[in-house]
Amino acid sequence: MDLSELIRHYRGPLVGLIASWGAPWTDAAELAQDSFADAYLNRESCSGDWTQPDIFGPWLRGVAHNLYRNWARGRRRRERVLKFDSSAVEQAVAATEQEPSEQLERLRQAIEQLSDEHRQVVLMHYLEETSVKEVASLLLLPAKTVEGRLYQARRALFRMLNNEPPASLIGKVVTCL
Amino acid sequence: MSLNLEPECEMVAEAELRAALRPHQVAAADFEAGVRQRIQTAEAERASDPLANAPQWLRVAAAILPLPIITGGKVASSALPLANASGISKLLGYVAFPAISLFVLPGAAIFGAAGIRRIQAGNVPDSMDLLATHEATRLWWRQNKWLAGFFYALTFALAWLGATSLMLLVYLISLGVMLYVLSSFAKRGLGNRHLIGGSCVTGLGFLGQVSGFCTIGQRDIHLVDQTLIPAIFFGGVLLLIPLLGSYETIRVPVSVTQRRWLWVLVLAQWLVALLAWVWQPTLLMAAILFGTAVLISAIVFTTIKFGSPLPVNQRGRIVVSLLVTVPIIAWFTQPTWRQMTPARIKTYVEAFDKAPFSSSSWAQWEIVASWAIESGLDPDLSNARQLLATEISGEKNPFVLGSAFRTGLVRIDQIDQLSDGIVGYEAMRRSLLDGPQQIVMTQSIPSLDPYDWVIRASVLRNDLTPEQRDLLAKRLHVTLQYVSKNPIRRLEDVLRVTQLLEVIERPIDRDRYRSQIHDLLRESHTTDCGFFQDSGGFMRYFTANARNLPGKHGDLQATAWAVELMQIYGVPDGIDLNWVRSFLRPKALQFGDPVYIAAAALARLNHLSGVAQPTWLDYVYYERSLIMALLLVALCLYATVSSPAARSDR
Repeated sequence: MDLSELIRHYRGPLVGLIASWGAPWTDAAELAQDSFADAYLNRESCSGDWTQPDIFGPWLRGVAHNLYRNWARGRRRRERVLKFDSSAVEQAVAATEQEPSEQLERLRQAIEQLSDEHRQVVLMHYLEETSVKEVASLLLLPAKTVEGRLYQARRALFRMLNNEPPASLIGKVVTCL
Repeated sequence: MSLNLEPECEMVAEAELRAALRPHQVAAADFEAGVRQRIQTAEAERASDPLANAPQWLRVAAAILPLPIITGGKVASSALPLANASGISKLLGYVAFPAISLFVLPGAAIFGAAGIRRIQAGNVPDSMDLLATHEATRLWWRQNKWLAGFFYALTFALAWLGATSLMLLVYLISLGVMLYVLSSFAKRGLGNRHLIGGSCVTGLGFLGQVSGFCTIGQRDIHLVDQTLIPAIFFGGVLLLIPLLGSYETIRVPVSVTQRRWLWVLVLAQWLVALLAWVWQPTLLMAAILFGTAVLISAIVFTTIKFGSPLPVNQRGRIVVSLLVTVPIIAWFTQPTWRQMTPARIKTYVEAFDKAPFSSSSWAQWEIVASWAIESGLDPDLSNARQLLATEISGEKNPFVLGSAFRTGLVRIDQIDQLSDGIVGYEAMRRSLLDGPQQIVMTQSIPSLDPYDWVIRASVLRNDLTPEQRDLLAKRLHVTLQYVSKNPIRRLEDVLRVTQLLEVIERPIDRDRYRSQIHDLLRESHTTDCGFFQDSGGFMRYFTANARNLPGKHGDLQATAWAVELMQIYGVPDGIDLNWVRSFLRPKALQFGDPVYIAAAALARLNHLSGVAQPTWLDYVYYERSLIMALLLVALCLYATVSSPAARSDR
């Protein structure tokens, strides 16, 4: 598998993964590009055959995580110096891109309220047409676990959108009864 | 319930989720083009990076180290970003940080600034390298000023607190890692001797000054003088300077070395130092430091005032470094090369012809003289006898008389001259022995000092009957009990009682009192150090709760008395004699009478029967700071010698 194919496989889940760590979407895309470039440039340091998706995935994730950490440190420094409100810009950019659908907006808000591990798999899997296998490879998890989390996430979103109590709360009530 | 059996209608549809996230999708073609653009740029940078094919750990270390400074501006920055670094690789860079702060950066800052002046003033082939180095130094300082400042503060604090071993260990590890990295760079043709050597000179000079504090090694056991450590550092500076080659480090323009007034200044410094040595040794250090400061200021002033586009004078550089460092090294190593021999102690004892502080001077001399006499050095005491004659014909201070009697200076015929007055011999003897026997024998002697000479004089004149000797012995035993239970106790009193019982031929039962005396010795021994005081000695005054009081530290005379007591009663369990040896070790920062008291007490201690001498392993353990200092200097020498010569050397 060459670089183009690897990019095609991992682009969506990687951007989603970095966004789930807390980077704004635009920065997540930049960081993902940096990660691909660095992972490729230092491919000799990768243990195993880097052209294999199963090996390249975890390697890419490690590089991305280090880059994100450095970026996050730098962001804190920049915020201290500039007192820059990046969320306002993010909102302005998003406003121009968003579709005027109230239902989708509610869904986006619900995604933000998901637990970290549920939100992570949703962002990675549904940002683009990505298979569960790539998501699992980046998260260093079995595919079944990712599937389970996606299932739980979708159910949780459904309950949130229909104002139903979360499953964990129902479980607790049943246990008490 | 199985996952697959869950009705699909109770979940959000996948299509809706994709639609919700669609605004955040990236354009596939743009994304890949961005990645390829980044790869292309990085590969172009790598082509000009000498570390491109270096191992990963070296490239990671390079990302943390100020590479433009280390390579003299030849490499702008590392091709490998820190993001890809593993923990251990990063650790290498972080461990090297203290050494960089202390060695490389100050060196680069000082010598870089000098180089910039040279560029401004003339034609220099390496100007671009120098400018790049200078700029990188400035940037590094700006980025790391707080952390570097922390390490400077930590270095001062550890040295000031006496935790020198810890300070040196930190720098030894850090410098070791840094030099390992630097030597790896050097193998790839990066780095030069001028920079590395200059950095080592600066760092060792700084460590030499810091470890020159008089608090050095205060808290630990040391068997040799700790001022050897700064001497080793300055010795390293002395060795490194000629190794740097003709590429200048300390800038001494020819005009400076040709200025006669500057040479006069140097000679004046030496003259002041010599006078201080003869007149008052305590001022020697101040004289050397003052002279050095004046000399360096003069050179800096001349360099700044006249610019310095002048040819470098290699000989002048070496001469100046010799003039600055040799006196300091000589002074710091003084206890090593000018060892305290029995002959020197004998000379000191024989030279006692004045007592500027009366009884205090006599008491100090007495300790040394007693040891010299006991050791069979057979000193000529004519000067001391003459001084005593003056005392007897004048003030008749009972404390002075006590010292004189104990060292055997007083002749029988001189006692007649001491008979007059209420504190004269006869009056004092009567007050000791007269009165109802049953009452007198139960009374302690309230203050031993004024009666010590009286008892010795009466024995010398044979004025004591056997009954009177028995009575006196009982009073001395009561006194010993009183001294042991007195809230404020003195080891000196215990020693005097023991000695006086011997003098009146009613020697003390050592076995009976051993445990009691050992308790007293243990109580008065302290491993705490006061401000500017060494630990490991015995306290002069001690109370039951002395340990809870601040400022209770060892006293030299009390320690000498304690050693005499241990000679009589044996060494108590629980006292590590290496602490006492450490307290009594020769020191460059000790002057006058204390030098000889410590030497005599140490000699007595080392000859106690059944006492083991320190082994070489003890020396290795207790002198670990010294060994670390030696290793640091050796590392610096190795780094300088192994790094490639600067371009102008070739």
